[in-house]
Amino acid sequence: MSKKILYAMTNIDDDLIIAAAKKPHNWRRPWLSAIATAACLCIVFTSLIAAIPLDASPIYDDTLYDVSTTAAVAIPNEGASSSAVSSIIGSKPSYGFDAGVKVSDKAVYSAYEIAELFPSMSFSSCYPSSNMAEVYTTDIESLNLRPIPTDPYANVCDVSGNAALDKAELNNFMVSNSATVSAALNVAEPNYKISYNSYGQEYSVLSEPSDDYIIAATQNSMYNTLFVGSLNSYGAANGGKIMLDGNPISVRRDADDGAVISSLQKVRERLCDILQVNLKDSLVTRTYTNADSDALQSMTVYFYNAELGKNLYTGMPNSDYITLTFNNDGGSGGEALDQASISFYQYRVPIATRCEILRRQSLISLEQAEQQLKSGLVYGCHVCPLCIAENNGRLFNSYDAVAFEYVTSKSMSVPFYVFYKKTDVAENGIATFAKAYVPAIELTDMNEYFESRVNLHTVGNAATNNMGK
Amino acid sequence: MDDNAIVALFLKRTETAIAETQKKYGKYCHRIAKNILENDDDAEECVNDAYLKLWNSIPPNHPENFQAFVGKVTRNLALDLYTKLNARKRTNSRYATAIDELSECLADDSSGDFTDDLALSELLSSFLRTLPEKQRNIFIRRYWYMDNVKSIARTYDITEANVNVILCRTRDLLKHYLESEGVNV
Repeated sequence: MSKKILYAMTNIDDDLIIAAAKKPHNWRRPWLSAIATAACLCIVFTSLIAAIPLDASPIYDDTLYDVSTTAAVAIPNEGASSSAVSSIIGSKPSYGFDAGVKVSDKAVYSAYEIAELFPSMSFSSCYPSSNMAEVYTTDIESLNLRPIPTDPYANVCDVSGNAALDKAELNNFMVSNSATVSAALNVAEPNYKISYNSYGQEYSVLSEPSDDYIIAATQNSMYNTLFVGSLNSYGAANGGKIMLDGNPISVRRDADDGAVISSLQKVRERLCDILQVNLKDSLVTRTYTNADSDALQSMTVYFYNAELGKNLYTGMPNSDYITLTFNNDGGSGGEALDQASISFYQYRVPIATRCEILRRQSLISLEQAEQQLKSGLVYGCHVCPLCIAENNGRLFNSYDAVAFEYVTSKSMSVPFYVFYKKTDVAENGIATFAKAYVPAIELTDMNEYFESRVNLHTVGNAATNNMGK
Repeated sequence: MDDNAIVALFLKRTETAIAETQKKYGKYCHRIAKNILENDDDAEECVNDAYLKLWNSIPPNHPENFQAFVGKVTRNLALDLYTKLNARKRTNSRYATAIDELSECLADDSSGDFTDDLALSELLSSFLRTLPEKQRNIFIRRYWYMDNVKSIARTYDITEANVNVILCRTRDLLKHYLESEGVNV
């Protein structure tokens, strides 16, 4: 019977399996209660406590860039102005709502908690090693690295949006968009059903693909998202292209940003028309690989409204936005990039409630961060302090750049010092930079957490080949 | 890529479905297989077989929870492969240890007459839902993911002895639950 039970365990309910795979949250309780207390205090003291200056106001920051692996260039706004912003925000002090936000000089968040921002460091299947996060770029300037702020405090935020999931709302979103999208693609509207994905804590539209396309949607506490993907199977008549009103959406792979945006102007207008939005600005981002002869991995074009700025913490536009992503699988598309997908992100919550400042936390100094870097107490990939410390002599004895970046999970955004070290330049000119993330705020349980990483590495018996030599 | 999109690729017989699955769930599958087989090469073989099985089973299946579906396929194949590889020898693997542990509280295979595996799975799900969250997850970590006790203790920040006590109590509860449901254990 025991063997039978082991086999029968396989088919227990899906949600039980997924829930058990998640890292337990017991350690969250103290700070959750602290937040609840802070929230109560906010209500009581909002009018009494003076506003605390922010390190930056995302509303006024009109440069959209990706802090992970994407090189990006901002395109000048069309008529962006602070008065336009003011009229949208009204008298509310942007992301101010500082009144009542707790300010801490002591460590509040734990190293375990911060590890959740890096899935590979919180899930026990990912054994620690010397593997670092990497970014590939033509030059480091194109990464638009954010300088270290002079303000000794920075915000820790909840960026989940926190809108309750609403199946009917997602259905309306799908209904209102799938008809016009299907018509533009010249395919029948898909049959679909909506299911709850407990792992992602979102609703998903499971749609029946047509011969050439998938039209699907998801809903989380921040967005309704429509996804249109082209199928590149052998049977697909369009060969992976998105044919909008019979015309393929494509760009030249060697075009500069201005040329890409110009060539997609009509596509932007048509998509805005189909999705009933008015998004007048465009921005091009590219991701690279370091090994391919054609280093361009993908190009994503954002259609958005620059005048609303971007969210400082998530890096995403504050307006609803469309992304048009061209994949370049093996550089197979010749001169044209035409293997495309479209995503439409519709916010479910107003700007002012997309980010809740949980706490203003004093920053550790750059010197302290450098010390942590040398000790291997860093986040970012499958890193183990033992490996990093052993590799440190050749890897992070010095570094090429340091930036101030927010790392964001579904529910939390935390500031980091991010150290960049060039490790390679491929023949195609693409440079590889290793990235090491040092939390910019003091944490509890640092030694305990990183000791557990070393133990996991040793016990895990999985990454010995990667150990520093 | 979104799970729905990956499933759609399988349904459309697009080979990139495998690559996307590997990219998103390769490590997850490897962990499941490795925990059972305790050998990287065998685990890799098992995971590759899992991709093939996914290809052959979607369609007709249209899983709502793709991650759980991938995990189940991998786990079943790993259990089968383990049985095949260790048919004639007694080992001290996690699999063998897990069976031993369950045997302490549940009778030997030969005495069982409960043959409907799916019904047994439903009973197990019902039983697990009666447990407090932490106790339930620890049991699943041990007997679904085959995590070892030390790893579970570290994950839940409790001692190994505590984990063993929780597991033993849960096995005892399971035994009584199955008996109360008319299962001859």
